[in-house]
Amino acid sequence: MDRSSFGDFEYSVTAFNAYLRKQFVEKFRTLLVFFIIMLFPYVWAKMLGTFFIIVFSMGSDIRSKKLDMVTFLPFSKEMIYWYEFIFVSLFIVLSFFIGLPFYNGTLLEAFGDLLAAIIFAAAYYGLIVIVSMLGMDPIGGAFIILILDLVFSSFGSMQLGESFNPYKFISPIVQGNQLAALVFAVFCLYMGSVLFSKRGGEK
Amino acid sequence: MMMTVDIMDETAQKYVIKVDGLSKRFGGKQVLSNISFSVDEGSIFALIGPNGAGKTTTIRCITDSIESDGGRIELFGQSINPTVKRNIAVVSEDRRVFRHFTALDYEALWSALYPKWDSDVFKDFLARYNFDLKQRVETYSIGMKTLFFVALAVSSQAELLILDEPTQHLDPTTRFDIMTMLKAYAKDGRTILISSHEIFELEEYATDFAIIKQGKVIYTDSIDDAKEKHRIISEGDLMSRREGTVGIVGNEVLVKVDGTESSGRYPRLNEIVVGYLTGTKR
Repeated sequence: MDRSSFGDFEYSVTAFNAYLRKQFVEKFRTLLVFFIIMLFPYVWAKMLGTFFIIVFSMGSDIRSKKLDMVTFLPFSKEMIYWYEFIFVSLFIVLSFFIGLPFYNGTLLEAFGDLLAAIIFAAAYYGLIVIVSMLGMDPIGGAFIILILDLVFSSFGSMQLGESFNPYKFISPIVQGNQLAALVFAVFCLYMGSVLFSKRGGEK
Repeated sequence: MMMTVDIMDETAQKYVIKVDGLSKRFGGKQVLSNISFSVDEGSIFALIGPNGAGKTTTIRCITDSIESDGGRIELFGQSINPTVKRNIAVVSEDRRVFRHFTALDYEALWSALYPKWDSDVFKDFLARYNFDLKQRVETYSIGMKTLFFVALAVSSQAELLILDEPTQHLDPTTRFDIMTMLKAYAKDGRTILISSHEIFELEEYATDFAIIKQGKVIYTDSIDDAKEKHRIISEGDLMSRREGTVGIVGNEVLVKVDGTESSGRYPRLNEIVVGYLTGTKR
Protein backbone atom coordinates (compact mmCIF):
# COMPACT_ATOMS: atom_id res chain seq x y z
CA MET A 1 0.00 0.00 0.00
CA ASP A 2 1.55 3.27 -1.12
CA ARG A 3 1.24 5.91 1.59
CA SER A 4 1.03 8.68 -0.99
CA SER A 5 -2.21 7.08 -2.18
CA PHE A 6 -3.84 8.08 1.11
CA GLY A 7 -2.41 11.57 1.66
CA ASP A 8 -1.34 12.65 5.13
CA PHE A 9 -2.77 10.93 8.19
CA GLU A 10 -5.02 13.81 9.17
CA TYR A 11 -6.56 13.91 5.71
CA SER A 12 -6.94 10.11 5.64
CA VAL A 13 -9.04 10.30 8.79
CA THR A 14 -11.13 13.20 7.43
CA ALA A 15 -11.63 11.44 4.11
CA PHE A 16 -12.54 8.18 5.84
CA ASN A 17 -15.19 9.94 7.93
CA ALA A 18 -16.55 11.63 4.83
CA TYR A 19 -16.63 8.33 2.95
CA LEU A 20 -18.43 6.52 5.76
CA ARG A 21 -20.96 9.31 6.04
CA LYS A 22 -21.54 9.18 2.29
CA GLN A 23 -22.03 5.43 2.36
CA PHE A 24 -24.40 5.50 5.31
CA VAL A 25 -26.56 8.23 3.76
CA GLU A 26 -26.47 6.61 0.35
CA LYS A 27 -26.63 2.90 1.16
CA PHE A 28 -28.05 2.34 4.60
CA ARG A 29 -31.67 2.08 3.47
CA THR A 30 -30.70 -0.53 0.87
CA LEU A 31 -28.45 -2.44 3.24
CA LEU A 32 -30.66 -2.29 6.33
CA VAL A 33 -32.40 -5.57 5.56
CA PHE A 34 -29.08 -7.38 5.23
CA PHE A 35 -27.86 -5.78 8.41
CA ILE A 36 -30.94 -7.18 10.19
CA ILE A 37 -30.09 -10.66 8.86
CA MET A 38 -26.58 -10.20 10.23
CA LEU A 39 -27.95 -9.52 13.69
CA PHE A 40 -28.81 -13.22 14.06
CA PRO A 41 -26.01 -14.62 16.22
CA TYR A 42 -24.96 -17.27 13.72
CA VAL A 43 -21.92 -17.16 11.47
CA TRP A 44 -23.92 -18.17 8.38
CA ALA A 45 -26.22 -15.18 8.91
CA LYS A 46 -23.25 -12.84 8.99
CA MET A 47 -21.79 -14.44 5.86
CA LEU A 48 -25.09 -14.19 4.00
CA GLY A 49 -25.60 -10.56 5.01
CA THR A 50 -21.98 -9.72 4.17
CA PHE A 51 -22.32 -11.30 0.74
CA PHE A 52 -25.33 -9.15 -0.13
CA ILE A 53 -23.80 -6.01 1.35
CA ILE A 54 -20.74 -6.45 -0.88
CA VAL A 55 -22.97 -7.17 -3.88
CA PHE A 56 -25.26 -4.19 -3.35
CA SER A 57 -22.51 -1.80 -2.30
CA MET A 58 -19.25 -2.10 -4.25
CA GLY A 59 -20.66 -4.61 -6.77
CA SER A 60 -23.58 -2.39 -7.63
CA ASP A 61 -21.39 0.76 -7.82
CA ILE A 62 -19.01 -0.91 -10.26
CA ARG A 63 -21.87 -2.28 -12.34
CA SER A 64 -23.68 1.06 -12.62
CA LYS A 65 -20.41 2.94 -13.15
CA LYS A 66 -21.09 5.08 -10.10
CA LEU A 67 -17.50 5.03 -8.94
CA ASP A 68 -16.69 8.05 -11.11
CA MET A 69 -18.74 10.14 -8.70
CA VAL A 70 -16.31 9.18 -5.96
CA THR A 71 -13.10 9.18 -7.98
CA PHE A 72 -13.84 12.75 -9.10
CA LEU A 73 -13.71 13.72 -5.41
CA PRO A 74 -10.41 13.84 -3.49
CA PHE A 75 -10.25 10.07 -2.98
CA SER A 76 -7.64 7.82 -4.55
CA LYS A 77 -8.74 4.44 -5.85
CA GLU A 78 -6.77 2.80 -3.03
CA MET A 79 -8.73 4.86 -0.51
CA ILE A 80 -12.04 3.85 -2.04
CA TYR A 81 -11.11 0.16 -2.04
CA TRP A 82 -9.96 0.02 1.56
CA TYR A 83 -12.57 2.41 2.95
CA GLU A 84 -15.26 0.26 1.33
CA PHE A 85 -13.81 -2.87 2.91
CA ILE A 86 -13.78 -1.19 6.30
CA PHE A 87 -17.39 -0.08 5.67
CA VAL A 88 -18.39 -3.72 5.08
CA SER A 89 -16.37 -4.88 8.09
CA LEU A 90 -18.09 -2.29 10.27
CA PHE A 91 -21.44 -3.90 9.50
CA ILE A 92 -20.04 -7.24 10.64
CA VAL A 93 -18.51 -5.86 13.84
CA LEU A 94 -21.57 -3.75 14.66
CA SER A 95 -23.95 -6.67 14.14
CA PHE A 96 -21.63 -8.91 16.17
CA PHE A 97 -21.70 -6.68 19.22
CA ILE A 98 -25.45 -6.09 19.00
CA GLY A 99 -26.06 -9.84 18.67
CA LEU A 100 -23.47 -10.85 21.28
CA PRO A 101 -25.86 -10.96 24.30
CA PHE A 102 -27.99 -13.49 22.40
CA TYR A 103 -25.06 -15.67 21.32
CA ASN A 104 -25.42 -19.34 22.24
CA GLY A 105 -21.84 -20.34 23.08
CA THR A 106 -18.66 -19.20 24.79
CA LEU A 107 -17.12 -15.78 24.22
CA LEU A 108 -14.17 -17.44 22.48
CA GLU A 109 -16.50 -19.19 20.06
CA ALA A 110 -18.28 -15.90 19.43
CA PHE A 111 -15.04 -14.15 18.51
CA GLY A 112 -14.11 -17.18 16.37
CA ASP A 113 -17.32 -16.63 14.42
CA LEU A 114 -16.52 -12.93 14.10
CA LEU A 115 -13.13 -13.81 12.65
CA ALA A 116 -14.78 -16.32 10.28
CA ALA A 117 -17.18 -13.63 9.06
CA ILE A 118 -14.34 -11.17 8.48
CA ILE A 119 -12.32 -13.83 6.60
CA PHE A 120 -15.38 -14.50 4.46
CA ALA A 121 -15.84 -10.75 3.83
CA ALA A 122 -12.18 -10.27 2.86
CA ALA A 123 -12.15 -13.22 0.46
CA TYR A 124 -15.47 -12.41 -1.21
CA TYR A 125 -14.79 -8.67 -1.40
CA GLY A 126 -11.43 -9.32 -3.05
CA LEU A 127 -12.81 -12.00 -5.39
CA ILE A 128 -15.83 -9.93 -6.46
CA VAL A 129 -13.59 -6.95 -7.25
CA ILE A 130 -11.14 -9.23 -9.11
CA VAL A 131 -13.82 -10.74 -11.37
CA SER A 132 -15.31 -7.26 -11.97
CA MET A 133 -11.94 -5.85 -12.96
CA LEU A 134 -11.47 -8.78 -15.31
CA GLY A 135 -14.60 -7.71 -17.15
CA MET A 136 -17.29 -9.89 -15.58
CA ASP A 137 -20.55 -8.44 -14.31
CA PRO A 138 -19.92 -7.91 -10.57
CA ILE A 139 -23.31 -9.15 -9.41
CA GLY A 140 -23.38 -12.15 -11.73
CA GLY A 141 -19.75 -12.81 -10.85
CA ALA A 142 -20.53 -12.72 -7.13
CA PHE A 143 -23.17 -15.41 -7.48
CA ILE A 144 -20.86 -17.54 -9.64
CA ILE A 145 -18.16 -17.28 -6.95
CA LEU A 146 -20.72 -18.26 -4.29
CA ILE A 147 -21.95 -21.25 -6.29
CA LEU A 148 -18.41 -22.41 -7.11
CA ASP A 149 -17.40 -22.04 -3.48
CA LEU A 150 -20.43 -24.04 -2.34
CA VAL A 151 -19.86 -26.75 -4.96
CA PHE A 152 -16.11 -27.15 -4.51
CA SER A 153 -16.34 -27.20 -0.74
CA SER A 154 -19.24 -29.67 -0.67
CA PHE A 155 -17.47 -32.84 -1.72
CA GLY A 156 -14.57 -34.82 -0.29
CA SER A 157 -13.05 -34.51 3.13
CA MET A 158 -10.20 -32.79 4.89
CA GLN A 159 -8.67 -36.13 5.86
CA LEU A 160 -5.80 -37.45 3.77
CA GLY A 161 -7.15 -40.19 1.54
CA GLU A 162 -8.95 -40.81 -1.72
CA SER A 163 -11.58 -38.15 -1.14
CA PHE A 164 -9.14 -35.56 0.18
CA ASN A 165 -10.24 -32.07 -0.88
CA PRO A 166 -7.67 -29.39 0.07
CA TYR A 167 -9.99 -26.62 -1.11
CA LYS A 168 -12.05 -27.15 2.04
CA PHE A 169 -9.18 -25.69 4.06
CA ILE A 170 -9.26 -22.35 2.31
CA SER A 171 -12.91 -22.16 1.27
CA PRO A 172 -14.29 -18.83 2.60
CA ILE A 173 -17.52 -20.61 3.56
CA VAL A 174 -16.18 -23.83 5.11
CA GLN A 175 -12.84 -22.48 6.42
CA GLY A 176 -11.57 -26.00 7.25
CA ASN A 177 -8.39 -24.42 8.50
CA GLN A 178 -8.97 -20.88 9.68
CA LEU A 179 -5.34 -19.87 9.25
CA ALA A 180 -5.20 -21.20 5.67
CA ALA A 181 -8.53 -19.53 4.93
CA LEU A 182 -7.20 -16.28 6.40
CA VAL A 183 -4.09 -16.44 4.19
CA PHE A 184 -6.26 -17.12 1.13
CA ALA A 185 -8.60 -14.24 2.06
CA VAL A 186 -5.70 -11.82 2.54
CA PHE A 187 -4.33 -12.87 -0.83
CA CYS A 188 -7.72 -12.25 -2.51
CA LEU A 189 -8.07 -8.90 -0.74
CA TYR A 190 -4.58 -7.85 -1.84
CA MET A 191 -5.08 -8.93 -5.46
CA GLY A 192 -8.39 -7.06 -5.51
CA SER A 193 -6.58 -3.96 -4.26
CA VAL A 194 -3.90 -4.24 -6.96
CA LEU A 195 -6.44 -4.61 -9.76
CA PHE A 196 -8.79 -1.95 -8.41
CA SER A 197 -5.94 0.55 -8.06
CA LYS A 198 -5.08 -0.11 -11.68
CA ARG A 199 -8.53 -0.08 -13.20
CA GLY A 200 -10.85 1.64 -10.69
CA GLY A 201 -14.40 1.91 -11.91
CA GLU A 202 -13.51 0.82 -15.39
CA LYS A 203 -14.86 -2.66 -15.99
CA MET B 1 23.90 25.09 -10.48
CA MET B 2 21.32 25.89 -7.78
CA MET B 3 20.08 28.78 -9.86
CA THR B 4 19.49 26.45 -12.83
CA VAL B 5 17.46 24.07 -10.70
CA ASP B 6 15.33 26.90 -9.32
CA ILE B 7 14.61 28.21 -12.78
CA MET B 8 13.67 24.72 -13.96
CA ASP B 9 11.31 24.26 -11.01
CA GLU B 10 9.69 27.59 -11.73
CA THR B 11 9.17 26.59 -15.37
CA ALA B 12 7.73 23.23 -14.35
CA GLN B 13 5.22 24.82 -12.02
CA LYS B 14 3.95 27.19 -14.69
CA TYR B 15 1.69 24.44 -15.93
CA VAL B 16 -1.20 23.40 -13.77
CA ILE B 17 -1.91 20.50 -16.11
CA LYS B 18 0.61 18.90 -18.42
CA VAL B 19 -0.57 15.99 -20.54
CA ASP B 20 2.07 14.29 -22.63
CA GLY B 21 1.45 11.44 -25.07
CA LEU B 22 -1.73 10.23 -23.38
CA SER B 23 -3.33 7.16 -24.91
CA LYS B 24 -6.28 5.03 -23.94
CA ARG B 25 -8.03 2.06 -25.47
CA PHE B 26 -11.40 0.59 -24.51
CA GLY B 27 -11.60 -2.98 -25.78
CA GLY B 28 -10.49 -2.80 -29.38
CA LYS B 29 -11.23 0.91 -29.79
CA GLN B 30 -8.40 3.44 -29.53
CA VAL B 31 -10.16 6.35 -27.82
CA LEU B 32 -7.12 8.55 -27.14
CA SER B 33 -3.99 8.54 -29.24
CA ASN B 34 -0.95 10.51 -28.15
CA ILE B 35 -2.86 13.43 -26.59
CA SER B 36 -0.58 16.27 -25.51
CA PHE B 37 -1.42 19.72 -24.20
CA SER B 38 -0.65 21.93 -21.24
CA VAL B 39 -2.77 24.31 -19.21
CA ASP B 40 -1.20 27.46 -17.78
CA GLU B 41 -1.93 28.76 -14.32
CA GLY B 42 -4.75 31.32 -14.35
CA SER B 43 -6.08 30.29 -17.74
CA ILE B 44 -9.49 29.03 -18.82
CA PHE B 45 -8.61 26.19 -21.12
CA ALA B 46 -11.27 24.69 -23.38
CA LEU B 47 -11.22 21.17 -24.75
CA ILE B 48 -13.24 21.35 -27.93
CA GLY B 49 -14.32 18.55 -30.19
CA PRO B 50 -17.24 16.57 -31.54
CA ASN B 51 -19.08 13.90 -29.55
CA GLY B 52 -16.91 10.85 -29.00
CA ALA B 53 -13.69 12.75 -29.74
CA GLY B 54 -12.22 11.78 -26.37
CA LYS B 55 -12.75 14.90 -24.27
CA THR B 56 -14.47 13.16 -21.36
CA THR B 57 -12.03 10.24 -21.46
CA THR B 58 -9.18 12.76 -21.26
CA ILE B 59 -10.81 14.31 -18.20
CA ARG B 60 -11.34 10.88 -16.61
CA CYS B 61 -7.64 10.10 -17.14
CA ILE B 62 -6.60 13.47 -15.68
CA THR B 63 -8.70 12.86 -12.54
CA ASP B 64 -7.37 9.28 -12.31
CA SER B 65 -10.88 7.83 -12.61
CA ILE B 66 -9.46 5.52 -15.24
CA GLU B 67 -5.91 4.42 -15.90
CA SER B 68 -4.30 5.59 -19.12
CA ASP B 69 -2.52 3.03 -21.28
CA GLY B 70 0.39 5.33 -21.96
CA GLY B 71 1.67 8.85 -21.56
CA ARG B 72 2.17 11.10 -18.59
CA ILE B 73 -0.09 13.48 -16.69
CA GLU B 74 1.21 16.08 -14.26
CA LEU B 75 -0.99 18.21 -12.06
CA PHE B 76 0.68 21.10 -10.26
CA GLY B 77 4.00 19.57 -11.26
CA GLN B 78 3.35 16.13 -9.78
CA SER B 79 1.43 12.97 -10.53
CA ILE B 80 -2.05 12.75 -9.08
CA ASN B 81 -2.50 11.90 -5.40
CA PRO B 82 -5.11 12.75 -2.75
CA THR B 83 -3.25 15.90 -1.70
CA VAL B 84 -3.27 17.19 -5.27
CA LYS B 85 -6.90 16.14 -5.68
CA ARG B 86 -7.93 18.40 -2.81
CA ASN B 87 -7.03 21.26 -5.13
CA ILE B 88 -9.20 19.98 -7.95
CA ALA B 89 -12.99 20.19 -8.17
CA VAL B 90 -14.78 18.34 -10.95
CA VAL B 91 -18.19 18.71 -12.55
CA SER B 92 -18.83 15.56 -14.56
CA GLU B 93 -20.67 15.40 -17.83
CA ASP B 94 -23.37 12.93 -16.83
CA ARG B 95 -24.51 14.89 -13.74
CA ARG B 96 -24.90 11.65 -11.82
CA VAL B 97 -25.82 12.20 -8.20
CA PHE B 98 -25.77 10.22 -5.00
CA ARG B 99 -29.37 9.05 -4.96
CA HIS B 100 -30.30 9.89 -1.39
CA PHE B 101 -28.21 13.02 -1.03
CA THR B 102 -29.82 16.37 -0.32
CA ALA B 103 -28.01 19.64 -1.01
CA LEU B 104 -27.11 19.66 2.71
CA ASP B 105 -25.51 16.22 2.42
CA TYR B 106 -23.46 17.41 -0.53
CA GLU B 107 -22.38 20.48 1.37
CA ALA B 108 -21.28 18.31 4.31
CA LEU B 109 -19.30 16.01 2.01
CA TRP B 110 -17.59 18.70 -0.04
CA SER B 111 -16.83 20.95 2.90
CA ALA B 112 -15.14 18.03 4.65
CA LEU B 113 -13.01 17.15 1.64
CA TYR B 114 -12.03 20.61 0.36
CA PRO B 115 -9.92 22.57 2.83
CA LYS B 116 -10.68 25.99 1.31
CA TRP B 117 -14.46 25.41 1.13
CA ASP B 118 -16.32 28.74 1.26
CA SER B 119 -19.79 28.23 2.73
CA ASP B 120 -20.72 31.88 2.09
CA VAL B 121 -20.21 31.43 -1.65
CA PHE B 122 -22.30 28.25 -1.52
CA LYS B 123 -25.13 29.84 0.47
CA ASP B 124 -25.21 32.89 -1.80
CA PHE B 125 -25.44 30.63 -4.81
CA LEU B 126 -28.25 28.54 -3.37
CA ALA B 127 -30.20 31.61 -2.28
CA ARG B 128 -29.78 33.29 -5.64
CA TYR B 129 -31.16 30.34 -7.58
CA ASN B 130 -33.75 29.23 -4.99
CA PHE B 131 -32.36 25.81 -4.19
CA ASP B 132 -34.11 23.83 -1.48
CA LEU B 133 -31.36 22.53 0.81
CA LYS B 134 -33.47 19.63 2.05
CA GLN B 135 -34.58 18.45 -1.37
CA ARG B 136 -32.88 15.40 -2.84
CA VAL B 137 -30.55 16.56 -5.62
CA GLU B 138 -31.73 13.64 -7.74
CA THR B 139 -35.11 15.33 -8.07
CA TYR B 140 -33.63 18.56 -9.50
CA SER B 141 -34.08 19.24 -13.20
CA ILE B 142 -30.98 18.58 -15.33
CA GLY B 143 -30.33 22.34 -15.55
CA MET B 144 -30.60 22.70 -11.77
CA LYS B 145 -28.19 19.81 -11.34
CA THR B 146 -25.69 21.53 -13.62
CA LEU B 147 -26.04 24.74 -11.66
CA PHE B 148 -25.78 22.90 -8.34
CA PHE B 149 -22.56 21.13 -9.30
CA VAL B 150 -21.03 24.35 -10.59
CA ALA B 151 -21.97 25.88 -7.22
CA LEU B 152 -20.18 23.06 -5.40
CA ALA B 153 -17.11 23.40 -7.61
CA VAL B 154 -16.86 27.18 -7.22
CA SER B 155 -17.50 26.98 -3.46
CA SER B 156 -14.67 24.46 -3.10
CA GLN B 157 -12.28 27.32 -3.97
CA ALA B 158 -10.06 24.68 -5.54
CA GLU B 159 -7.03 25.86 -7.50
CA LEU B 160 -8.21 23.88 -10.52
CA LEU B 161 -11.78 23.39 -11.72
CA ILE B 162 -12.48 20.72 -14.31
CA LEU B 163 -15.90 21.34 -15.78
CA ASP B 164 -17.56 19.14 -18.36
CA GLU B 165 -20.22 21.18 -20.20
CA PRO B 166 -20.77 23.67 -17.34
CA THR B 167 -23.45 25.69 -19.13
CA GLN B 168 -25.39 22.82 -20.65
CA HIS B 169 -29.18 22.95 -20.10
CA LEU B 170 -29.02 26.43 -18.58
CA ASP B 171 -31.11 29.41 -19.67
CA PRO B 172 -29.28 32.31 -21.37
CA THR B 173 -29.26 34.57 -18.28
CA THR B 174 -27.86 31.86 -16.05
CA ARG B 175 -25.29 30.95 -18.69
CA PHE B 176 -24.12 34.55 -18.69
CA ASP B 177 -23.92 34.52 -14.88
CA ILE B 178 -21.86 31.34 -14.90
CA MET B 179 -19.48 32.65 -17.56
CA THR B 180 -18.98 35.87 -15.59
CA MET B 181 -18.39 33.90 -12.42
CA LEU B 182 -15.84 31.59 -14.06
CA LYS B 183 -13.95 34.54 -15.52
CA ALA B 184 -13.77 36.12 -12.07
CA TYR B 185 -12.66 32.79 -10.58
CA ALA B 186 -9.75 32.48 -13.00
CA LYS B 187 -8.80 36.14 -12.54
CA ASP B 188 -7.73 35.29 -9.00
CA GLY B 189 -4.96 33.08 -10.45
CA ARG B 190 -6.94 29.87 -10.39
CA THR B 191 -7.24 27.63 -13.41
CA ILE B 192 -10.23 26.13 -15.21
CA LEU B 193 -10.32 23.27 -17.69
CA ILE B 194 -13.59 23.14 -19.60
CA SER B 195 -14.92 20.59 -22.01
CA SER B 196 -17.68 22.08 -24.10
CA HIS B 197 -19.45 22.16 -27.43
CA GLU B 198 -20.53 25.76 -26.89
CA ILE B 199 -17.85 27.38 -29.04
CA PHE B 200 -19.65 30.71 -29.32
CA GLU B 201 -19.73 30.96 -25.52
CA LEU B 202 -16.17 29.77 -25.09
CA GLU B 203 -14.92 32.68 -27.16
CA GLU B 204 -16.40 34.96 -24.50
CA TYR B 205 -14.59 33.54 -21.53
CA ALA B 206 -11.94 30.94 -22.44
CA THR B 207 -8.33 31.99 -22.93
CA ASP B 208 -6.79 28.86 -24.46
CA PHE B 209 -8.07 25.80 -26.23
CA ALA B 210 -7.27 22.44 -27.75
CA ILE B 211 -9.24 20.85 -30.57
CA ILE B 212 -9.62 17.10 -30.17
CA LYS B 213 -10.67 14.95 -33.07
CA GLN B 214 -10.76 11.15 -33.07
CA GLY B 215 -8.65 10.95 -29.95
CA LYS B 216 -5.93 13.32 -31.11
CA VAL B 217 -5.19 16.95 -30.37
CA ILE B 218 -5.12 18.50 -33.83
CA TYR B 219 -4.50 22.07 -32.66
CA THR B 220 -3.82 23.86 -29.39
CA ASP B 221 -3.05 27.49 -28.70
CA SER B 222 -4.28 30.57 -26.90
CA ILE B 223 -7.40 31.99 -28.54
CA ASP B 224 -5.70 35.32 -29.24
CA ASP B 225 -2.62 33.71 -30.79
CA ALA B 226 -4.75 31.34 -32.85
CA LYS B 227 -6.62 34.30 -34.32
CA GLU B 228 -3.32 36.02 -35.12
CA LYS B 229 -2.03 32.93 -36.88
CA HIS B 230 -5.04 32.31 -39.10
CA ARG B 231 -7.14 34.09 -41.71
CA ILE B 232 -10.43 33.43 -43.38
CA ILE B 233 -10.19 33.92 -47.12
CA SER B 234 -12.57 33.34 -50.01
CA GLU B 235 -12.17 30.25 -52.15
CA GLY B 236 -11.19 32.53 -55.06
CA ASP B 237 -8.20 33.87 -53.11
CA LEU B 238 -7.23 30.32 -52.28
CA MET B 239 -6.32 29.61 -55.89
CA SER B 240 -3.20 31.76 -55.58
CA ARG B 241 -2.02 29.96 -52.40
CA ARG B 242 -0.12 26.72 -52.19
CA GLU B 243 0.43 26.32 -48.46
CA GLY B 244 -1.31 26.81 -45.16
CA THR B 245 -4.81 25.65 -46.02
CA VAL B 246 -6.42 24.27 -42.88
CA GLY B 247 -10.03 23.63 -43.76
CA ILE B 248 -13.27 24.77 -45.29
CA VAL B 249 -15.59 27.01 -43.28
CA GLY B 250 -18.88 27.37 -45.15
CA ASN B 251 -18.04 29.12 -48.42
CA GLU B 252 -14.69 30.31 -47.13
CA VAL B 253 -11.38 28.75 -46.20
CA LEU B 254 -9.33 28.87 -43.01
CA VAL B 255 -5.64 29.27 -43.69
CA LYS B 256 -2.65 29.36 -41.40
CA VAL B 257 -0.42 32.36 -42.01
CA ASP B 258 2.84 33.83 -40.85
CA GLY B 259 2.80 37.20 -39.09
CA THR B 260 3.05 39.30 -42.25
CA GLU B 261 -0.12 38.08 -43.99
CA SER B 262 -2.48 40.88 -44.94
CA SER B 263 -5.12 39.14 -47.04
CA GLY B 264 -8.37 37.79 -45.64
CA ARG B 265 -9.93 38.56 -42.29
CA TYR B 266 -9.29 37.40 -38.77
CA PRO B 267 -11.31 34.29 -37.90
CA ARG B 268 -13.60 33.82 -34.93
CA LEU B 269 -12.96 30.87 -32.61
CA ASN B 270 -15.81 28.88 -34.07
CA GLU B 271 -14.36 29.30 -37.55
CA ILE B 272 -10.96 28.05 -36.39
CA VAL B 273 -12.60 25.05 -34.75
CA VAL B 274 -14.79 24.25 -37.76
CA GLY B 275 -11.83 24.70 -40.11
CA TYR B 276 -9.70 22.23 -38.18
CA LEU B 277 -12.52 19.73 -37.64
CA THR B 278 -13.69 19.65 -41.24
CA GLY B 279 -10.24 19.86 -42.80
CA THR B 280 -10.37 20.27 -46.56
CA LYS B 281 -13.30 17.86 -46.96
CA ARG B 282 -16.58 19.27 -48.24
